[in-house]
Order: sequence, then C-alpha cells, then structure tokens
Amino acid sequence: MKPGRELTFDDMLEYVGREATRPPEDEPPLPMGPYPEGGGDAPPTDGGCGSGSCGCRTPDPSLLDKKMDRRGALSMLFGAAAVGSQALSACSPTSLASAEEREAKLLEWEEYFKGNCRLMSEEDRERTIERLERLAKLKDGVDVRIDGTQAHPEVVYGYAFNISKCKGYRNCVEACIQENNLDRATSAQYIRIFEMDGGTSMDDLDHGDASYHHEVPAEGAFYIGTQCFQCANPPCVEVCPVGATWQEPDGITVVDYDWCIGCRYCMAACPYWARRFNWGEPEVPARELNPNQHYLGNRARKSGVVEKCTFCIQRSRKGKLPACAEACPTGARVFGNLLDPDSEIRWVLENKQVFRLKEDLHTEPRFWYFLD
Amino acid sequence: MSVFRSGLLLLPLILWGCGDNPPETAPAQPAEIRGVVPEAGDDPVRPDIAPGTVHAIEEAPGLASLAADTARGWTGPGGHPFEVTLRTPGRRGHLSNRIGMETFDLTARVTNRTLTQYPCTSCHEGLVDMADRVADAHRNIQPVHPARTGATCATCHLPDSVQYLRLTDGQAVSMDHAYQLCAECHQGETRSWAAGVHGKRVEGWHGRRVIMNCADCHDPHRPALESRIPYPGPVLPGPGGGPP
Repeated sequence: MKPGRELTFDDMLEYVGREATRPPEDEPPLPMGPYPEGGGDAPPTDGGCGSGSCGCRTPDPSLLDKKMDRRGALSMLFGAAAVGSQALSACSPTSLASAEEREAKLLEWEEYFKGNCRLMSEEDRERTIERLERLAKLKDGVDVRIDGTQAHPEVVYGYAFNISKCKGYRNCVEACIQENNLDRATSAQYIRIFEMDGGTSMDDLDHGDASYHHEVPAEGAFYIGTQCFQCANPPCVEVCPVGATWQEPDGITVVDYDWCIGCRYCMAACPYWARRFNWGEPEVPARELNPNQHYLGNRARKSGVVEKCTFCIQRSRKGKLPACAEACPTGARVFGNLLDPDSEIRWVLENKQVFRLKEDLHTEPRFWYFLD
Repeated sequence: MSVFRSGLLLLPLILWGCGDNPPETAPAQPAEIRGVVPEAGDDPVRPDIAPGTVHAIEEAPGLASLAADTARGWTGPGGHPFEVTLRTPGRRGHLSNRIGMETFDLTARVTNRTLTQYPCTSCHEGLVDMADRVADAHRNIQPVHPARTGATCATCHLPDSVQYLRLTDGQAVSMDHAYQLCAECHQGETRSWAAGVHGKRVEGWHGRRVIMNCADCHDPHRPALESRIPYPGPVLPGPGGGPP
C-alpha cells in the first residue's frame, strides 16, 4: 500500500487477507486506532481541510505495517474510514457535526470492535473504561467513574435472608434500583419480595404474591425475597452460546454487556427468574444516575442485552455492603465472606437452620434463608 | 410477630406510674464516650490481609467519620470485639435517597425523632422527681413498652442523672451503650445482635465491624416497627407474579 493515497475497500480486503494468513503472535495487541489523549477534552482534529491536521487525512500508513490481530486491524481500518467520512462532512460548510459528535462516533467504533472482557489485557480494559467514561460525558453529559476492580482471591460472597425479620417494605428494591441504574421506564427490578400466607410452605413461591401493594406487614403473612442467588453451579452460564456470562472467582456471576447477543437462553435456564432483559435502552434520569459504576456491574446497559443482580459488585468488591443489605430497615439481610470463619454469614450457617430454594436442582445457590 | 419479641427494655422518660425509690447505691461514674478514629491498616477482623497490598479491600469511606465505640461485655463471631454506633444527631437517616453515593451517611432513625431534647441536662439539673408528672415536655413518647411490661420510668432511667440509664444493679450506663440495659431482658436478641444476625452492620462487610445500636432501629418506648405502605412492586404478567 502506498503512503499518501486514499484508502479503498480493496485495500482493506487486501490487508485483512494478508493478516489472516499470518501466524499468531504472542505480543499484546497494539493500540487500536487514533485516540484523543488527556481525557479527550480537545477535539480530535482541528484546523481546516488541507491544513495537515484535518481529520480528512488518512492515518499514517506505517501503522498498517505493524503486526496486529484481525480484530485490531478491522477496528483501525473501519475507524479510519469512519473518521474520514465524518471529517469530510465536517469540512463542508453546511455540516452541523461538532467535534464532540465526531469524537463520540470514533469512540463508538472502537467500542464496537473490542473483545470479550475476559480476553482483554489489563491495558485494553483500562482503555475501554476510559472510552466508556468519555462516551458517557459526550453523549449524556454525566461524569461517571467506572471501576474495574478484580475479585479478591480470599473472598467468596454469601448472603442470608432472615424470613422472620422481613416486613415487606421493599426498601431493598428501592435502593437496588437507585444503586444499579435500573431502567425507570419499564420499572425493572432485580429483587422480588413475595408475600406468603401464613402456613404456606416457605419455598412454595408459586403461591406467593410479588406485586402486593397494601400496608405491610399484613396480618398473618410473611415475606420472602429473591434475587440472583449467585449459584456455584449456574445453569445460566452453561447455556450461554457466546460466553458473555460467567462466574467470577469470588462467586459473582456477571454479564459482559458488550458481548451479550440477547438470545435470552440464560433467562430460560435460570430456575429463579433472576435475569432481566432490556427491551429498550434503559432510561435513568441524569440526576438520579449513580456515577460509581463497575464494568461488570451497574454501568450503562444497552438495548437487547440481559442484566442481573451482581451483589452490587461495585460496592462489595470495595468492602461495602450491597445496597439492599444496607437499605434494609429490619436487618433481615446478612452479607459476608464465606471463606472467613469469623464472618457473620458463617455464624448464620453454623448456628441457624438454613435452606435454599430448589435445592434438588443442584444449582448450589450462595443465598440461604433462615428463621430466628 | 417477631418485632414484639425483639423489643427493647428502655423505658420512658415521661412519668408512668413512677417509682419513688431512687437507686440505693451511688451510681458508678460512666466512662467518657469518644468516637474511635480508625488507624490506617488496623483491621481486627482480617489481620491476615496486609494493608496496602494489591488485593487489600478498601475500607468503606463512610466509616472514618462514623462515631462508634467498642461494645462492652460483648463479642462477635470468633470472639472478636466490635463497635456500636453512637448517637450522632444531625446525620441523615439510613433510608436516604442517596443510598448509592460515596457520601452516604447513616445512623439512628430514632435520634432525630425522639432524642431531640438530648442532652437532658439542658432542662434537668440534679435530681428529677419522677413522681412529679411533667409529661408535657415529653409528649412525643408513646409508652407502649412500659405499659406491656409494667415498668416505670425509674426502672430504666436514673432519677438523679437522667442523662444515664440504670441497670438493675443500679449502675449507670450511657445512652450510647443502651444495649447493656436491653440485654438484661432480651438476652437471646442481644446474643444474635452481637453475632450479626439481629440488627445491622453499617457501611461494610469487611474491616472494622460497626453495628447499629438497639435504639437506632427500635424506639425504646415503642419498639415494634411500624406498618406502612411499601415501595411499589414490579409490574408482572399474570396473577401471583409469574416469570418477569
């Protein structure tokens, strides 16, 4: 490919074909495409057409001679094409595209070509987090902090729910919605509180009412809450055809929202109704948005992907309680580290009679119920 | 209902069939209550996790500003000491809307509602004659708990030093350590509370273990949690709340 020439589609095909026959390399993938530095406050290009700094110019062709994987090459080529077309329109006097819009488009391109979260290098992960934070600023005008904290090697989270304490106030539901930026338009909720008639078998949720709305606690009723139980043997992970959901070393089952294809197999496989599907782009008012986010937790989801409770991964991995446990006004929720013999959750397991829902399915939930 | 079983034995300041016998022994002077400022790296629960290492879990940020004191006479799981929240008037309630924010404050739902007149010495000086019915100043107190147990004001409050509570042996206890008084009747609940099953741990599951005081959740004079309209539930297809 000759330097200084406009890229054509044939060039791309030629490059991709050449790359595909190249033996695999052990080196980490190269940085993908041009990227604004210093947080990207300055527009990626300034100056007019022909000034040399205009975005209409093709990227330095020497970049193309460097070794990179197929995904990186595609990203760079298509990214360059996108920048070119955007910059062309920017150069015309009738264009309304601002520098922010061009930058957002470019970042979206790069996001589109990123890999599965589990296959990313440390550097890749940092860069995608930077991009997502910048995109949130550009598109929605909000400052978010996306966290990438990894699992602690000595921690496996466990949860216990005291049925005799729960009064059905649903403060946990409210806190969960606010903490996890759940869609306000469809009233998505991770937590279900079932109102059960006294005398009903405690694990017979088919006879429970999750949509009660009257003064609680009702006479003679008891309340039992469900959410994702973070099973040790999760059927939802088994059925995912693309590896977009997996169990972290600390026991939390997470979803890579950028890898999920929305087939909803996991929702069918979960025996506890724990997963939620985004039929549209989740709507969260900017003033209610929780800016403290985690890449695998409460960051912005998109339309057509599945999401779920993560025991508030953005909080629990920093030593805090999940929002539901913190908000519960009755103290019915106990959360802690199962590997710590002195933790409260271990005290519950050793001193109380506990049970789990649908134990015969061998899903091994890490969520126990008990009575006083 | 378990709320009745888990009620506490703090008794009202208003006069309710008041006893006229002040404690015979002179009350021991209670120790001064101070908030404990955490030292960096001081982790009594998980000393095996060295501070500053890559894998160390951060301590919840709100703890540094939270006033707490070590619980006296009680230990948690594994025999570890723990701390109880102190009354800190002016803090936001734990049902705050800013539940997910870093600047989240909590403690003491009761504090702002029933301890608005604390400290007692702003009105009372010296011996308070509990036989004298001056309930007008404490009209907000609903004496459900003493009515059920047959207790009087002086059962729990020291007449000559109303700032303090009175144990059955006449010893004075600060209101910040009211669990010592509650434990005299509600032993099972207090044991569960110390173990972390009854009541709430605040801020974090890791690091300093600070749990809420009995009266942070229960109004001592009316300990049962109130019934109210819940937060709206989900919109579900079909009766009984089928699959989402």
